[in-house]
Amino acid sequence: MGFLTDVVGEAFRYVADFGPELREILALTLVVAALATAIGVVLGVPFGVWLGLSRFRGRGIVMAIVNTGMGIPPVLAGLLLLILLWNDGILGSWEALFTPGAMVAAQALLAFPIAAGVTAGAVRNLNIDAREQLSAFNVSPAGRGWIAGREVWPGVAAAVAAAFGRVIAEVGAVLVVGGNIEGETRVLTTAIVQEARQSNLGAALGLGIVLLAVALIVNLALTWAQMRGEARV
Amino acid sequence: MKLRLAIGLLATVVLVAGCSGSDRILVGAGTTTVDSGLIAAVESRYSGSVSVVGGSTAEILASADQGSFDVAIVHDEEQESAFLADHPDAVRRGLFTSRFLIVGPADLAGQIAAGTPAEALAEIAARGWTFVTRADGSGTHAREMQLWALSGMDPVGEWYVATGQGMGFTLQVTDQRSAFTIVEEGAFLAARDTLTLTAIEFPDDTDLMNPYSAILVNESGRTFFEWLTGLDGRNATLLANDEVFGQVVYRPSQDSEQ
Amino acid sequence: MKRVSDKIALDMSGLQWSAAGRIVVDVAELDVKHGERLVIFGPNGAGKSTLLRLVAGLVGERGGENVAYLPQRPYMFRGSGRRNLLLGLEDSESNRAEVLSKRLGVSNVIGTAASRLSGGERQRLALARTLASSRPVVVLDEPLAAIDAQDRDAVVAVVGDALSERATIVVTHDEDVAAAFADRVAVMVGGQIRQVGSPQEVFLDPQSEEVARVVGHHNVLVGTIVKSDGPLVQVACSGLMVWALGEQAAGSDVRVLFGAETVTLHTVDPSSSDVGKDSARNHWLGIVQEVIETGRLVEVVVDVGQPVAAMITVGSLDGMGITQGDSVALSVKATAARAVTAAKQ
Repeated sequence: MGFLTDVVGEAFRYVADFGPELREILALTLVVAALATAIGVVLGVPFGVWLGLSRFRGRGIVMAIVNTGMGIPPVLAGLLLLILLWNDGILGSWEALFTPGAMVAAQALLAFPIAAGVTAGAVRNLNIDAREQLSAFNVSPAGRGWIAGREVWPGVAAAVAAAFGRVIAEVGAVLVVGGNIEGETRVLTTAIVQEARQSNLGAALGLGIVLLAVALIVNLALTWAQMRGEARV
Repeated sequence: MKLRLAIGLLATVVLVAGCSGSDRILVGAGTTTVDSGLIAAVESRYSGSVSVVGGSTAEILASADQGSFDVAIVHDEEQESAFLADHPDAVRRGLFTSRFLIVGPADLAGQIAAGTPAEALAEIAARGWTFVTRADGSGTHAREMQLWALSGMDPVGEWYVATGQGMGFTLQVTDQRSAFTIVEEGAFLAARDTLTLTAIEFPDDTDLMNPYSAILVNESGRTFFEWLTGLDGRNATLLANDEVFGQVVYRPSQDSEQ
Repeated sequence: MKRVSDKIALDMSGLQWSAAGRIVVDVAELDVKHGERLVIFGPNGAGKSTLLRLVAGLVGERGGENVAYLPQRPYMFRGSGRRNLLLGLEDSESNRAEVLSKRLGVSNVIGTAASRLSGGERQRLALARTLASSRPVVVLDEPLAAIDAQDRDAVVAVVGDALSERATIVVTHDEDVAAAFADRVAVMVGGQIRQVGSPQEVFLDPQSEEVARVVGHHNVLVGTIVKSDGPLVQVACSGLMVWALGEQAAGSDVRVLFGAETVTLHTVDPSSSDVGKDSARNHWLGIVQEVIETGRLVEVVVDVGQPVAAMITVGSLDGMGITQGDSVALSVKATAARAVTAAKQ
């Protein structure tokens, strides 16, 4: 019991201190996760809308691939990128390995199928009358997609939240392609792993508390936006 | 409001792009030396810009094989030799030496009368005391398996527990079960405050020595490599030891040419 | 003045559609001409909506590009009524949509959130949007289903105006709408077109028992209102004066509708031209043209200047001893007949 209270006390002291190292880690975590989510959403949501609206042979297979992608182990996504980014790899000339850029790319790879899959699900659940009306409109496929995406926007917001939650909480991909370099590529999750490896359980728990707080704030903001949007419409 | 958002986003992109600068030196080093802060304390005394990535010897040499590290700091003779055979241009020098410890509950550890680490393991196995292994392919795990081979015992049975985890978790499990394990001194010192384990003392601990090598992989890392393995680097390592551990755990090699 | 051309705007001949192994639509021969208003009339489940969806290209392979389509249950997307009014329209069409929304009486709700609109308001908005489209073929599925009965004539008039020269296909199961609107009526039963003709032909002269059941033996008289009296109007139909329910102004072109079952037959005493007294306001004399036995009911077609059908039982027929060529009197309560505004010709 004494040990547990010690660790928890240390954790809260660590958070309360909010030292420069923690601030730096938090800032990088937010920037990387936000950019990765943005890229994943910008590519994934339109793809999801298209997938949800279209009827073609093999759509089921594409859907299955996307759903599998939603569950891809982050460390596997990291490894795939690592192999590409190795100096002698296909993208080695970018010299992007162990940079925040590589971390953004790896997490975007994780965010994309989630953004696409959740959006496609929301579009597929569109009322049959809405789908019928939509296909009767005299608009381009892109215009149709825009109307459909707007119609299911609470679902799109859920896709954003799910993608952000996944990337900010994952450690496998950022550790492999980021390398957890102090002051360069260290984020909350990789810092937690490192502190835990060192048996600095208080600091590890403190970082975990910060991570959960960030995830909670982002989700509250999105839920609030959803509810406000629902009330307005 | 929108303008501020746009500026913030732009600054972020510039920051991320800027970090992928090609002039920095990338160093891959053993997990314990990085996690403990030792390597950071060493390179902070170097005038240039160095980025340090932690990993197991196998992981670091795999990325170095693809040219992704300029300098590798690793500790497995066998893997190092294989790497040098594949890369005739690479240069290896002895860097520093740490040692492994066999740790366990004080009351049991005091009963062990063995003269060498291998004999101690044989005794633990014979008495059926619990032994916790990382079983994760790390340098520490490799050394443990070598010692079991020397001991003549087969580590199989209910008393032999595998975590498949890193050192920190493995130490916690060992402590909770009042068991034994093998650990690098640096990692043990970092975690000692949270543990009730003590190290077994041996008259002859040669088999527990843990020599690290520095390998120059890419020519761009030469300046740092020469500094690290030269007199200034050795002094920096001693000062870093004091800063991180309050004692010398990673002892610089006297004659670094190999 | 001739609105309907001979040129075919859309040929539906040979359209077929099956769902779950059942043939839903199987059209042998049907087309709509430029400027023509074709009403598809039939019972629920006849395949009318599916035929329209085929025409609009929502199912099946062909068609759709030239078709403006109003679904049976128009869906309102998130946002204001205005957004829904203008959705999918080009700039040039938007102005027309605004004007039509005013004429259809929903210009006051375009600032309201679509989710707060009533069924009738939604249908009018969607109707305005569909009619504003410049596509040459307009397809409307039950366009008046959610619109109150007293407003239907007005809406029909606006729709007729807005369609102008375009080919139009309307699905309805409302006989008043069909009769008021159609140049031609196609009766659809079990996925097939069973009879095509003018409203008078189809409603007065069904070619089969099945069609007869579907159309309910409707009498349709075309005329012009001469005066109105409270809820009633008096309509001059080719010399025959008819009282019917209606609120249109004098001078309006209307069609008067009443079912054959609402017509009462009287034998006429040859010594007196007095028809006798009852509460009906319409009393006409005529000559029996035809007696058609359909099971236990008999349809008696009487020429009173134009043909009017009466439905009586076999027992009544035997009791009255009516045969072809006899003089008879007809009476129809004014409240059983409705005057509906005819779409502009």
